[in-house]
Amino acid sequence: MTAVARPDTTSTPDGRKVRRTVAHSIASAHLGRFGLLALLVLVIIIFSVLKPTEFATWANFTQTADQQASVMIGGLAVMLPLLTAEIDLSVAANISFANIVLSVLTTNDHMSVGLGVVLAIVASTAVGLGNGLIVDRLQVTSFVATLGTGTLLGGLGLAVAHSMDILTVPSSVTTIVRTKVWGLPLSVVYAVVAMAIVGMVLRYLPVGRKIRAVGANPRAAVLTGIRPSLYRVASFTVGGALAGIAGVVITGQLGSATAAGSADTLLLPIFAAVFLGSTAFTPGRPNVLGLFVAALFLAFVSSGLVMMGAPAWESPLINGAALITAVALSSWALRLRARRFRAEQLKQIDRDDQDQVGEAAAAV
Amino acid sequence: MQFTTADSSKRTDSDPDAVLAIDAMQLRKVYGPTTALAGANLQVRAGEIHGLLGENGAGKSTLVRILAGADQPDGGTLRFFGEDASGGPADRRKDGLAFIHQDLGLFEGFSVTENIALSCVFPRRGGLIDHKATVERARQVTARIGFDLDVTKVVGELPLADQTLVAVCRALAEGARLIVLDEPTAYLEARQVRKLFALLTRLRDDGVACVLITHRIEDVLHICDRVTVLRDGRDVARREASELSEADLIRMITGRSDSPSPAARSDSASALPSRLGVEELSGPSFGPVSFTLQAGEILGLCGLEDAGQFAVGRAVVGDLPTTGGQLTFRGRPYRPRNVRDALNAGLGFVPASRAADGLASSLTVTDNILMDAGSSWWRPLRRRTDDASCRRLMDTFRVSPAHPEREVSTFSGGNQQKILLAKWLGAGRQLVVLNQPTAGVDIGAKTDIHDEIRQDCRHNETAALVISTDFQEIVDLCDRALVMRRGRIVGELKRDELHTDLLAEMAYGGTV
Repeated sequence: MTAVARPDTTSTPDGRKVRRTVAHSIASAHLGRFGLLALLVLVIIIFSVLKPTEFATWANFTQTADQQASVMIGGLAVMLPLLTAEIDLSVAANISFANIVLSVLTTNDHMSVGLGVVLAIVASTAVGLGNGLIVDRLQVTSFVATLGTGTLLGGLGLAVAHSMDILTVPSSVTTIVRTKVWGLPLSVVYAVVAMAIVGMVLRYLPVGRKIRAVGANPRAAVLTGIRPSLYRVASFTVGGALAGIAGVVITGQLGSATAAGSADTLLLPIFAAVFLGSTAFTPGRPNVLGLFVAALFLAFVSSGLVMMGAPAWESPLINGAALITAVALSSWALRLRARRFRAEQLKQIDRDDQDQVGEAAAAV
Repeated sequence: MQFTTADSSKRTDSDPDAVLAIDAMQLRKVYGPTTALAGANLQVRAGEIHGLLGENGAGKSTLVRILAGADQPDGGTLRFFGEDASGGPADRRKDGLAFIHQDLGLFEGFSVTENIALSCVFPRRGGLIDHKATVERARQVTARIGFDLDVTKVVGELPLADQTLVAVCRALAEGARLIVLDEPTAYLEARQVRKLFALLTRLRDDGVACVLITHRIEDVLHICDRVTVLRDGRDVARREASELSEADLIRMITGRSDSPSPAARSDSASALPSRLGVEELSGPSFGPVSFTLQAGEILGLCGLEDAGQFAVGRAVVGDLPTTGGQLTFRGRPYRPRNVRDALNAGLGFVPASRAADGLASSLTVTDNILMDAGSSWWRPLRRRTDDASCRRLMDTFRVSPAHPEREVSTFSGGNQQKILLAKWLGAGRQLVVLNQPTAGVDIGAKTDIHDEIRQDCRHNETAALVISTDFQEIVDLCDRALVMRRGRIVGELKRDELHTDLLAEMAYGGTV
């Protein structure tokens, strides 16, 4: 008589197999939590050894961080709606839009930097609010809604710029982004501050719990007195504001604006960082720390490979591959977890059986 | 002489020579956090009609899926006619094992002949289908069980009983030695049932093994030779049907003794203040209904699935618009526009479906229990105290393991239900509306949950409105019960009158 159990599941008499599966899963659970961080360290070490004079320099680190500042802030903009289970595909277009608005206001209209920045962020915030209302009130799925607004923004940007690229913005605009504090460009400081604030709010304020609840089960949220509409619209709106900030950072870094959209190519790097980041720390859920580590990881791999002589087109390859790998990893982790609980469950049945046998023996 | 132990009922096969049509031993299956089979045995002889019984959730359907090869077991052994089972549904068919589900899997637009021929092969002559031979073979098969039928008729136009028999004939044409029928009588009227059973008896006398999965006890007593009863994923009894009475079967299926001992209830509640007053309340699918609920009282509101009791509950918490009538809460008029209003007033609402409406299963226990952590936006969460208070609640409700930082999806169904109740019963509510508070949980968890509800009502003067389709639960838990039928309250039973038979009779429309 042979067991019908499949080889990958656990059969009762073979307790050893159960243990191995459980140990294996627990190990992989920790690997899932801190795997990305370990990978980042590994990548830094490898390239530092291979290219000590180029890679392992403060200049390279600050440059890479500077380059990823807009990805990090843009990632936050995507993460908020994502936590409520909505996707924002208009984020890159919104960043470009803020870039154009700020450049036009300060260059063509000679507006002061402060006012220009505020208006650019307000414009992007309005776009986010629009996204939220379209999704929530008009009941358009966020995928379609933001695909639409993204395209629409491209046209709007061209109109605002009168289809003319702005080649140099006033130096006052670049100063607020390129100035270095303690050796770090302000762009990086903005990114870190934004991540710290969003991270703290999500973790330590009731808002974070409510946003997660809306994303995980909106009906349960309603029956707990939470208004999903409010959090859905608010997430898109704050996301829009963050996209505006990313737009300001980009403007300072580039010192220019392309009427057709300077930041449109950021869409994939942003999503790659968010999704790769959601495999770490709280696997399966987007999180700020994961975003930070993932953004650095992707940038270091990319810049390291370029130093090793890889052609410039490797960057999109890495981002695309990272996006797919990240999502595949997440679903793999979920399956693994399901298997672990199956094993636990079977062990519990065994214990119950033994209890019953014991009781029966006692009864005899 | 055989050595007998307390569980000798699990192995009673006296004739060791007879090859069993089905020999399933210690089958196990878990789906995510729920245990569907926890070591189930089933032995079916050739040439018998074997009844398989059990409550919803006892593991019947999982067992059938495993027998049919649609699911692989996580443990145990399975043999058909002495050979180890292997492969999927297609292999089962080749081995002469037929499974007839409620969805019969017939092509309704095709004739009986075509249906039978499609599953085997069309007889051919000169490479082309031999229609005459096809019809002839269909006739032979129906004649074998004495089924008088015009085989050229279109299946969709036949009565349901006949369709079931066509499915049986098709199985016979494939050479079935074992036929498993899943709830074949569920939608049949008495005359059709008799016809089906008469033909099944012929089949048995022909040496075919039949398994009849059913929840109709009269079917079992009428036609089955032997019976296996499943409860909580295990077989709890295997008996000759002839030695069983209806009461025996009910007892074995539910696992309860004849007279459920009603646990101690709160003392006379007449002096306590009113919590909820419902006056002539009506909505799209119910009403008008009127009743009152006092502090510390557990009031049952029951009926069949569509009697309207769930709509009343939703209306009370503002989740469903009403078309008339009034509500009072703690003596004051109360008109919730949405669930938020009701919760702010001091109500709690436990929905019937914990997966769809109750819990965010991808979030942690703490995130669920304290989902709406106060109305303040800016008061920081005190994660440590939150976790500690959730752990205390989990201890009180006997949720194991009591790890508030674990995701809800990692707990078993019973534990998830306890978490859902802990969320509301632990929140100091004045009135809780509990929909199916113990749906799909095992007996042990059921008792725990009932205890907690009673505790909360007695000590905190919480009033509980228990809305259910499970009459036994109403009897076990409630101080008083209202029975609904077609949107209206048709009867009220006091504590000492509560009895499942009476509740069922009122719910189905009998006179009291």
